Amino acid sequence: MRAVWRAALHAVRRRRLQTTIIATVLALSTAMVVLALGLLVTVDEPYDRAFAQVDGAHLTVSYAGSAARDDVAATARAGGVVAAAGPFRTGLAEVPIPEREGEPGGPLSLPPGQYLLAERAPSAADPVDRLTLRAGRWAAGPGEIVLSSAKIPFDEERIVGTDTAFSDRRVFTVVGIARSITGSADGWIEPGQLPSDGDLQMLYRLADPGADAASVTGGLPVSGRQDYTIPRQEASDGAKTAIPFLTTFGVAGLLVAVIIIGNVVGGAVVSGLRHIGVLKAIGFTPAQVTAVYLVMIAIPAVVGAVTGVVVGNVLARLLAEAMGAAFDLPTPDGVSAAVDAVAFLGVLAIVAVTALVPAVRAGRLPAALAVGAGPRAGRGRALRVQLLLSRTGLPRPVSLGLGLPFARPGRSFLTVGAVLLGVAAAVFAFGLQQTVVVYYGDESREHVYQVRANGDPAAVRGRPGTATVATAVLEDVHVPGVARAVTLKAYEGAVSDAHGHRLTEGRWLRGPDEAVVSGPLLRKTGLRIGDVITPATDAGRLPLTIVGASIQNADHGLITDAATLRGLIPEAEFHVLEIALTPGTSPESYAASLLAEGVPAQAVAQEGDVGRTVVLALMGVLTLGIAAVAGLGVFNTVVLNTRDRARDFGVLKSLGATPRQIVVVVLASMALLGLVGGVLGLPLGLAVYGGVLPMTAESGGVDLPYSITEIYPWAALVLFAFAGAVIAVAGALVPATWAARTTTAAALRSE
Amino acid sequence: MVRLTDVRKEYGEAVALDGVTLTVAAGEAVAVMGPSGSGKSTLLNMIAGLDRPTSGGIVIHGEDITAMSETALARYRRRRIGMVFQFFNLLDDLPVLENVTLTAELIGTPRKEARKRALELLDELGVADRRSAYPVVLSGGERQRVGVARALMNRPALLLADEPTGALDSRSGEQVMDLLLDLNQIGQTLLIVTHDERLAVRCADRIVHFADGRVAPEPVR
Repeated sequence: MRAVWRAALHAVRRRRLQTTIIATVLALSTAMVVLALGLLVTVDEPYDRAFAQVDGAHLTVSYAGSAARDDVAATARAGGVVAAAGPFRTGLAEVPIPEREGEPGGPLSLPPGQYLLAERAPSAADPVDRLTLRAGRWAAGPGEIVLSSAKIPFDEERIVGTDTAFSDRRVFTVVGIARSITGSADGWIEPGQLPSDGDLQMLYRLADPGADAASVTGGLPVSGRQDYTIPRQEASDGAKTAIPFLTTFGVAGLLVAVIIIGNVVGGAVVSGLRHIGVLKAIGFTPAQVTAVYLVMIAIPAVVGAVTGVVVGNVLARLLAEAMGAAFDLPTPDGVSAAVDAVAFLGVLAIVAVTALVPAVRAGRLPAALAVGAGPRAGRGRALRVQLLLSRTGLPRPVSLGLGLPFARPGRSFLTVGAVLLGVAAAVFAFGLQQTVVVYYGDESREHVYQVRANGDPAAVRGRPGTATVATAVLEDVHVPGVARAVTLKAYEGAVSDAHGHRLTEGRWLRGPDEAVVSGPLLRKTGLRIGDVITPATDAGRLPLTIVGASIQNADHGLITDAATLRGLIPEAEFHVLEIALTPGTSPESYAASLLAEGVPAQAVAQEGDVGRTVVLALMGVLTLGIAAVAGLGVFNTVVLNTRDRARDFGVLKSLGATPRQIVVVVLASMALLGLVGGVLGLPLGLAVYGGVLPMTAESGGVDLPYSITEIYPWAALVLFAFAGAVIAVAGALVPATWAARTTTAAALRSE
Repeated sequence: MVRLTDVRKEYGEAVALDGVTLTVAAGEAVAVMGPSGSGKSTLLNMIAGLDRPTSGGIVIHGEDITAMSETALARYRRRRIGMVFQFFNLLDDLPVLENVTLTAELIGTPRKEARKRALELLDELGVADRRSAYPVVLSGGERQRVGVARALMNRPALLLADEPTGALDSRSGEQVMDLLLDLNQIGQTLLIVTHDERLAVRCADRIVHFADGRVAPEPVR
């Protein structure tokens, strides 16, 4: 064993570059695995996990102020109640529309509207709906308020410290931002500041989360109640598009890491064939040779995996915080120890398996072959290729370089394989990210209009910066089979104008009594194109023929024409304004100027929730991670390949090749392998994308009607095809310079 | 010491050894000569247990090595055989001293003892001052002397040398020849595969000529 350890240890010390690359690939891969597993855990029912973490309330009940406080408190002991919090005095306060917009960079005003305030002093020991402080501190006295993060999606830090005046002239200083998983209130203040006749709020956790509220309230006067399925649904809506993509990214990250680890480790073993032969010749048993190679790989693998776990934890923590912020959920306490253990042991197991196969093969390799005494195949074919290339008229170093890969087909195959996998992984990751970008674009229709406002179109039409204004109406309607309200939308103007809506199926409206519905609504109702859908309001029912499905901002949305809508709601007011701006106009400034005039307006780019930004940034990081792991795998293979050919380069130098010509030979040989790998990797990546995307769409209930050419611009396709050659040449550049600088005698002596 | 009986080795269609029968007595020095491709190196690999014959028997020191497992063959090599290669086959990752002591450590020799013997051998072979160097910086002659020291480390019953002077300049070649001669004179059994007639004549008690995988009755010119 001592000899095994010594042989392996010296090999690790001497092969610094290879050891460093293995450790780096393992560190990156392990970090990817930790991140991917962390991601898969994070996106798996994030609301439910967060809900359980803070003991969210299954039921929130507001009792009328007339109810006695003790009676309300006694409901905590009602049958079926597992835990309860309250009663908390509540009251409504209104934030008025600001008379003018605040200065850029200055204190912000709160979004206008009604705020439900609760007198509650939060504690970490609260049995139900524990609040999580996101910024600032808890309220410590009268006149201080902690606001709900649901009300403040942006600029939390800037809101803290500002004074907020409500319509009734009460002024509170915002001292903190907190989140309630159940959305129990919009703001929390110290007791004794709300009118004593205000409602009393109770929060319950129930043995049966679906139990009827009446079983708890015991006949007390109730002014409102909310069960947890509503905030749950809202939270799921926020994450619904992102989750299937992030899951796919997580799985892809895992797979790429596994494949690249296999390639790098396998390559290290294959490159040591002569070393193996010598070990056997001096008396190492097959098992000992296998052990030498396993130990040689295990040392950098363990170092890399440990580093990767640490890096992965840091990244996963950032990811969890970003996801929590994006979907307004509490941040989990980093990656669990189980994920770390699975990632660390899993990566080492992959290393062991991928190293074991070639290492066992190495152990079994006839020593005579390994030390160079046996017959060598492939030379005849290489010679024929060299002869053919020499007749092509290419500069001799180039033709020599192009012929080199044929002399060592096994090693060349490995290099092409590494490039192929790397390019395929990058193509796939790019496609996935691009799909999300395009999908979000279609959802927001930012290419069609840049500002959304509410109000009189006449006030906007002549305004500087306005290009066109589309006016629409939004009405909540009921559709049989759908529990939640469905958003019915209609545009004024030409029926056939699709206003940038992307159809996923069927066609756009052509006349009255037709509807284009959102994909989720189509699935929810079980209807198909050509079927009749019947939205209803208190005023009546409106049978519409479904002619198409489109990507819509509203999960359950339905679009018809203005005349048809007026048949159901004659008094409908078309005050939703979709404003396209003239080139050069800033949507943010335009919206701000409308707001300053009291017209509610928002730039579409800001309308998209924080979640989109976070998801896109996250996918960018993951794409880079996948590309980096794949690129490093290619680099490693190319370096080993070039080093293996040192003797060939010595022969060339002995024949009179200049250092520059040697560099050309090396680069030409690697460029050929890289090009072949890239050209093969591109269709593989596209095929994987084409195969995985429908599954992603299916699992997430998302419609993705995109063709390959829509996702991959031609320039990107060309870039990917040549990316393999570029990475291979970049990887070969350093060893090519070594080869060129090595003295001829030293190169010839290299065995 | 060495007895080959009707040994045949095929690589696919090609026949490398075609019914070779050969004996080498203990303490004898035998040189095997012949043109390229005549099967000399294959013969050496068979005796070293680096390769297996397609048919025939190979008995070394009373043991039939054709029936041995790979592990048993490895043990046989480390205890009974020392090998010297034309292109040295040193482990590039290990410095000279480690290259030599490694074989002793394989048979469980305590490190201190292995180091002492390795230094003695390197000293005798005139390369003790190079003990900390890596093979890549040594000259061909120095490398071959390190290769010989490694081969002798476990006091092998049989020393096999495959073109030991083939990659050396004439001066280094002479030194290696002297070395082999000295070894044989103190009783080391030698089997040398060579093209070099001077080496064969000078070092061997007996010369065996090979042609087309067979023992030839007369030298092949």
